[in-house]
Amino acid sequence: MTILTRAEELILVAVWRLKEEAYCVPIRAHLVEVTGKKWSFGSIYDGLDRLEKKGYLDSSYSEPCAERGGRSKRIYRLTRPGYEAMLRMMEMNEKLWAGIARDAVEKRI
Amino acid sequence: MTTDNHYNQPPRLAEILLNAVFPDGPHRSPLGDFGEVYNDIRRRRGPLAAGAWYWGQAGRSVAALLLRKMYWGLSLGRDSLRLTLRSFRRRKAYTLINILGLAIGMAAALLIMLWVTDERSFDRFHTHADRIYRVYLVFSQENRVTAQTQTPAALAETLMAECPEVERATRIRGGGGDSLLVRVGQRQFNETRAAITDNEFFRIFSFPFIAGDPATALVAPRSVALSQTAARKYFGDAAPLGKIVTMYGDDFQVTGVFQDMPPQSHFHLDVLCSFSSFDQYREPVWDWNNFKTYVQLRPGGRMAVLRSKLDDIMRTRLLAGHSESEIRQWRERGGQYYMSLQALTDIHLTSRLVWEFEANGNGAVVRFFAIIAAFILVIAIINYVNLATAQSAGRAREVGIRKTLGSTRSPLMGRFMTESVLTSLLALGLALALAQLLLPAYRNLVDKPWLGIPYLEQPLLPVGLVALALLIGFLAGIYPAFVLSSFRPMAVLRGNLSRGLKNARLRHGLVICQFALSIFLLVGTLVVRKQMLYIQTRDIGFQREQVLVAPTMGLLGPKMEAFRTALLADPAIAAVGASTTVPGKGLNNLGSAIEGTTVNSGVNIMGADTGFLSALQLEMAAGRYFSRDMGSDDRAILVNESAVREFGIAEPLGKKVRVSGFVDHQYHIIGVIKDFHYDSLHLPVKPVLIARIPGLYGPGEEYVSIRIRPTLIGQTIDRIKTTWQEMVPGTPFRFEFLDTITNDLYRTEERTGRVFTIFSLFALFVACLGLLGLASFATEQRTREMGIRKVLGATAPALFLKQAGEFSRWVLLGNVIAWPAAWLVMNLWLENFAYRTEIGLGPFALATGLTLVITGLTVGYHALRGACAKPVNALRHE
Repeated sequence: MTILTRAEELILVAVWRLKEEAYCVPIRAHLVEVTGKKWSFGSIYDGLDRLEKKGYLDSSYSEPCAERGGRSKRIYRLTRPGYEAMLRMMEMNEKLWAGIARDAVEKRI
Repeated sequence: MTTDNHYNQPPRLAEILLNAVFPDGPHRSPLGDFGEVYNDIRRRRGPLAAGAWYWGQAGRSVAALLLRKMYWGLSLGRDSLRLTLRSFRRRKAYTLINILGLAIGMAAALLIMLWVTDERSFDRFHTHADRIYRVYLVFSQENRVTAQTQTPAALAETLMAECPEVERATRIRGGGGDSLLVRVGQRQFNETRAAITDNEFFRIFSFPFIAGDPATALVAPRSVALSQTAARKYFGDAAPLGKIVTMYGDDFQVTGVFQDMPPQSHFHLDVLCSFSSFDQYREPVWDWNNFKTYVQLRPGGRMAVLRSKLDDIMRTRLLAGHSESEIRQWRERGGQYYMSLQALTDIHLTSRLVWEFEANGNGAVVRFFAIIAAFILVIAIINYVNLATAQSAGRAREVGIRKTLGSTRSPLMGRFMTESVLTSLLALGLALALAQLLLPAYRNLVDKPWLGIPYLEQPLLPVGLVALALLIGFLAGIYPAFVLSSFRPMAVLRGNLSRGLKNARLRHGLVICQFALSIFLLVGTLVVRKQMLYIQTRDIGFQREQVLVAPTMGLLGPKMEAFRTALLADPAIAAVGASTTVPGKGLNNLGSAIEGTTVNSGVNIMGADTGFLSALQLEMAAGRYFSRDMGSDDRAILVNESAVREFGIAEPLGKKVRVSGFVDHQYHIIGVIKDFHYDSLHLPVKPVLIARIPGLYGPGEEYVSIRIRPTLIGQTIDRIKTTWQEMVPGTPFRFEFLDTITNDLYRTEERTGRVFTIFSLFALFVACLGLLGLASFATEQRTREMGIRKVLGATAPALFLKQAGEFSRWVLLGNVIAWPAAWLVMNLWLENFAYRTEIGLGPFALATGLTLVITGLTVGYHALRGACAKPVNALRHE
């Protein structure tokens, strides 16, 4: 099993959170909110494509929407390997951060 | 995200760009994403901000796309390149000939064009170049018309004061190779690039100053402007302004330093003295033509007004002493005397006047070479396309196999195009390398050490070259790409492909043209050489070898006799003579009247002393030369044979001659000297008077001619130097050999000859490559024919002769076309010379013979191969 990159991890979590609204624009907005950084469409597409290629994500097109000039949304869903990958990431993160107290780090600043 | 709002269309063009980057099927979801955000921003921050954002996205995406395409293009190109290289390797000889031929053609054309553009760029660097003109003077004398650059000193100031169309006018005296002695502190210099000019000079001509003010540099008397080179030579690194330079017996103050005059100027001067320094010009001088006059017209100034002003000045100033009827009579007898104008930018290429600053170029030769360059390039291109086309016919089988294996047409087309364009780009690269490599030798050859390929100065040049290479590659690729790729594999592989010789006539025509051009150039080369040889060997009336000529600038004066005596004590020195000029340095022209003739105008005159005759080994036709013993020789004068003949002096000896401008006007003729060529063979020998120095002629000697014996010349020269130093301490001894001086008269021709030789070789080489390609093509085409002929009993020699004969026929046809053209053009060229060789049959025979031999060698190999091949190999495929 490959370790996901941080960007892939972030996108994966965003897709989980956004559920039915998990298409590029809200994903980007969410990531901007979480990270406080600018995200280009290209980087989102790139991450989504890679996750889809690895089989963690699946996508389908919505009905054409008027507010998008008659274009569809590409909605992403997590697949079973996607959920498994999320679990692995959670475990890894827990191990990684285990035993580190917040105030201990803050004291050093 | 609000979804209930109306959708605003983002900028269309940007959308199209984005669409190109994210083609996402019928749903076009990415465009929807971009559109959604665009609308969101638009609602919050207005359409302007949204548009900017959208365009920014489009721009970034396109940039990313281009990078990606380039990456793939490169990796595809690498594949194509590998295939191309493989095909090159498979056909080494063909590839080499083809690329080399095109490269040589391109390099030759490039080099020729460098020279041509340089020749055409003369004097164009002046800011007002298009408004500057030079006045010249035309006069006739005994039915011979002379046009000269020299005009009276007062002309410039008069034009500026009296002609409203003239903005400025300046005058220049000197600079024609005369020597001037310049003293700086304890050191002395011989300056040949010195001149007298007025303050307008730097306002008309654009020579940038390094120090001083060009607007006022030459106003004050005894001021001098120096070139950078001269300033460094005189003062080293010290600041030159305000320093003192001694010349003309006076102290001059340096008031300006200008950058060295660029090579593309028709004059090159290092020392410019102010006109106001010379008292003799305080009053307007009209009766001595010793200044060159340049005028700068006002913007929009009319030439006609200036011309009529010149006519007016002619009448009221130059012909002031003559009555109307006198002038009319003289004009009716065909007399001419007028001033005219030539454009500054035309001087280098068209002006052939008497007293030019330097040897000028030749416009006809420049045009001719431009045509040659175009010709060589066109022929190389045609050869290349031709050869590539011919060769590709042999690749029909490859096409067949590729198609059988499933290749479609477009990758095949792409392959052929890639190959052809790569080849031509390779040829361009090779051409540039070749040109760069040959450049140093070429600079020497054409005497232009500053030539370089102006990649940076002319940004259009590299672009044009690459475009040309692409075009050539495209042209050469058309036939294989479109015709070959369309072959049906079955037909090709069965081998009954009709490779038509449809354009055989065109191809043969091209070969004929190429050879006609090469032969034309060869004949030209040979005629130029013949004429140069004629010049070298013609009896010019004196012995030019082993004569040292030292300019003395009148320094010896009364010490001349002592100098001669000292030198003649040396057994290695045969004769020593002083004179006011030597052959190749021009003559003075003074009003003279000869008893018993109607001559009453300017006649060439020079001064010589008793040793001059033997120093140059001139010969007497009648009478005697000046003698040391006879005091009466002070008033003796010699004439040349031309004078006797043209002036019709019956019984010349003892006749009286009056020369104006001398203290004593009265001379008598004591001898007739055989004609000698005091000038180049371009000009016929004119009448010359030779007066005696030191006598009453002018200021004294200007040159000492020393004839030395051909033993240990270096040591002899050292001894002469020592003697000179004893006579004139502190002045450097400078000398030239007389044959160098006379050869310099033919510099332009010499150069033309060398360039001619090189380019005719280029053309011949390119033509040979064309022939070689054609021969290999023809041989291959006729493999089967030769096979059948052999089976039917033809012998190898017969077949060889048949093929070789065919090619010789074309070459001979080329000869026939080239002969009349070469004869006409070379006769025109020879007319530049008053004394010239006959063209004769020699050059034609030699050129034809040479081309035939080269043809034989070129074609021979292929013809031989074709003739000796085993018929079974040729017919096996049937």
